[in-house]
Amino acid sequence: MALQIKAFGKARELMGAGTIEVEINKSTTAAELLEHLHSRFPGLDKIIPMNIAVNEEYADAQQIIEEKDEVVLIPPVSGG
Amino acid sequence: MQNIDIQIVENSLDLDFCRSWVTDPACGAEVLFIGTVRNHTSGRDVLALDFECYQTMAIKEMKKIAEFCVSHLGVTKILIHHRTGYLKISDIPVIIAVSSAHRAKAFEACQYAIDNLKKTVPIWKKEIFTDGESWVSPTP
Repeated sequence: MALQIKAFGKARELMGAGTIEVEINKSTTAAELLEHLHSRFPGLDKIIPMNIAVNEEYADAQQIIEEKDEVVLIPPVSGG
Repeated sequence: MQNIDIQIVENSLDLDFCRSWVTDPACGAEVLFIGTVRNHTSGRDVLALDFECYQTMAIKEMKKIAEFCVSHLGVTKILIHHRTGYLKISDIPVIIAVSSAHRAKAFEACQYAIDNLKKTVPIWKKEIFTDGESWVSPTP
């Protein structure tokens, strides 16, 4: 299934765009999605910890990504 | 809720508004944290900070922090305002204002709020140096 992924900060710069599209299998977990992105975008694996937000909530590594989900890469935050 | 005010804005934060908003007749203590842009980091001169945020989730996460301060830390009112965009030295990216009946809870909640904002709220800043730029990693 096709999935839109947004990214911010350093992750956005590494991916070269604020939103990208990926093709993933159904039942892909957040952790598997991140592995997929690591192979596509060199250097992304150096951003630790990288969180994934699904529908505006931090996702567990084992959370299944659904087609309609809003998926966002969250590199280490630094507000304030 | 009228005892919580969360905002993310692109313009200058209004300290006078924050202070008067948090005032409550039942409260004998108000604590305000004002974050300001510092001109150095790790021995390098900083010219500016550039903030970006995931607005909808950032608002949600800031609300969670504020709700915890009211439900568990005993504050009467709490306001968290954050600014985004390009900020110069001494500009104000964040204001947290809390009020409570007595000072101990206001101090504790204000510290809790800024500490957790830096851990969970999806906002990022890039430091602009005289000789380059870099995204900031979390600091204790």
